[in-house]
Amino acid sequence: MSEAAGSSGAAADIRKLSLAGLGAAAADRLPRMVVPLLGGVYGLDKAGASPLLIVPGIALLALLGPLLHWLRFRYVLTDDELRIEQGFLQRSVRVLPYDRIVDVSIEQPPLARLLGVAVARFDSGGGAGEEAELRYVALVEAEALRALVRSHAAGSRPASGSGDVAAAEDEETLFAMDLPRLLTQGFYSFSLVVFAALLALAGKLDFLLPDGKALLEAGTAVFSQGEDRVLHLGLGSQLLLALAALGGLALLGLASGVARSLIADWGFTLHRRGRTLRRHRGLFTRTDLSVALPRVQSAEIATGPIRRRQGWHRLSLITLGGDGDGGGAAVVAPFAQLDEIATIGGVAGFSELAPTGQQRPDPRPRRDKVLIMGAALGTAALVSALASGPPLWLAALTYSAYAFANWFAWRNSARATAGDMLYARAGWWNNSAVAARMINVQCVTLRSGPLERRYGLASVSFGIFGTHLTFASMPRPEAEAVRDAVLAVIAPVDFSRLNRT
Amino acid sequence: MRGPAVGSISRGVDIADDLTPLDPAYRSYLRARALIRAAALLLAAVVAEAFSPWPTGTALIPALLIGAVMVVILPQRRFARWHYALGDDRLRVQHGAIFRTDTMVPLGRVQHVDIDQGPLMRHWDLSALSLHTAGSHGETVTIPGLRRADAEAIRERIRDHIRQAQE
Repeated sequence: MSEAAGSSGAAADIRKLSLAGLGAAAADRLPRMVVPLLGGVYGLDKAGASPLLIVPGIALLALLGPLLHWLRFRYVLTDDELRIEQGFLQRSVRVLPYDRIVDVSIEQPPLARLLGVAVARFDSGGGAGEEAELRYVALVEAEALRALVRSHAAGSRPASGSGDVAAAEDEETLFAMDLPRLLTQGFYSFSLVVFAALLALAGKLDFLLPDGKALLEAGTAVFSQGEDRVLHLGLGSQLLLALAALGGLALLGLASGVARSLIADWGFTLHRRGRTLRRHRGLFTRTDLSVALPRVQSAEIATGPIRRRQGWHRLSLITLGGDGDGGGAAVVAPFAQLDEIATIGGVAGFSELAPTGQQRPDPRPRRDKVLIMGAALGTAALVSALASGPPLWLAALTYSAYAFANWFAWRNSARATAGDMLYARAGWWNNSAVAARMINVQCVTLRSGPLERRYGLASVSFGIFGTHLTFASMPRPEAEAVRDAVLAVIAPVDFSRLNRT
Repeated sequence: MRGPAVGSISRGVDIADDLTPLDPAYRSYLRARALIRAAALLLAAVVAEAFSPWPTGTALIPALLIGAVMVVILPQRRFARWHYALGDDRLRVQHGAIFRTDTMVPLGRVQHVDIDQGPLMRHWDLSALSLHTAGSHGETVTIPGLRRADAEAIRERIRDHIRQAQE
């Protein structure tokens, strides 16, 4: 502590967490206080006092921890590092040099939003869970800290306010989601899994659902029809009601999709500010994520079998070091058309995200594989059918599904090179395309199995941080040519020269 | 001088003249390892025969055959499929008999290098060299059978290359 203070001289700026944030920190603890709460209510009730007395008691208890934490927590800004000092008995000091901080993310849970405070999290590239965080500083303070770290990353010199003002003018909105878009996304998020789960649940909890008989009786009561009339309508109505119940479940599945879409992506905006993208989203918990453009390694464009027909895609950027959002992949456009994605991609340095001249893999190795599987499965099915095992049609059905999936997978696969970009698409159900600049490839592997060798084919895998990019089953000379071209680009550039601002 | 002309339907990875095979001691090492495994297999077969009502030979004969293949044929085949080449700015590693792979790693993209040596390998003064890059998703590029001194020489070459690039 003392040497740090000595090195930074008079510039050390000691700060404390937001006092208003104590409320939010206390609220974070409430879920853990359910047991004492119940105990307290019980005890007070036994003692003949009003159980309402528990409210101030719990509030005090919840505040105590954060208050102690607050008392012994401070952070110090010096010319070139952030120092966090904390701990009641055992002091711990963590030092984060500004130029080692990859990014500052800002998160606002609901109560924190009301109080105008936020969590500022400092990612030093060490991996998830290792980030230092300031749990509740004023939102403006969080943003100022981020600007401070940014100005160091950009200029490698002490921060001054003027630089940020200049950068702010540069800000432009790249993508936003309005309500119709969110709703559309919700409809497409209708998940068969959720639907199936609901269906299974309905089987268990059928007493909650309007079952045919009860509704029929209710209907009878409402319309005051004669009993013979109802009996007459019996079968048709029952069928209709069953359909209605199924429809109700489908509606529920749809509603869950819409709810998920609204909660996750409410107010989704993506801005560009200098060399970073900033993403805001969330209905209850607002998150503010930034993606440092020079660190972006590849882009992933994913889509599903149905939404694809309407041109809806999801764009994620994968950055070196990991950026909160699950191992370095940040969704920058959850539900967008290809032209919108191309705009964002252009900003992120991907000149082409849907290149022309895409080529499919050679179908022959896959065809052979399906045929070999067919022969094996056919023999097995025959033997098992003779031994009165499962019937032949079941095997035929399974095999057709397998063959169809393979055909679909082949149809949906493609590769392309466009300028300095590599592009590959795969996946038979959920299709996902990966695009990367050649310079970000780290190693190249040529593979060939026996079926590929039969036709003089090979596959090329490009090792790229956090993703796979494979050109499947292409003519071997072409595979070697693209391998050599990529190596010619990457071999002269040392890793440390990549990702520079 | 490269291998057979590209364009012909080649029977797989063409081994160019400038590729180095592994140290022949690696074959001995593979053979010794296979011998230990075959012995274990044989022991299991003997035990199975002793405690089962099967006629003599039902377990022993297949075990002997498998053991013979493991010790006599496979080490040579595996050894023969491994090749590597260290160029000015890249390392190339080829291996695999049925599924063949041919990997190139630019030296400037190596994050770190491991040299491992097991107790059996130590007997032949062999070690395994592994290169890690940021793009290999935990799959490392490994050359399994190098003399310790050769592995260390390659590691030094890579280290020099990186040091030069960063200056």
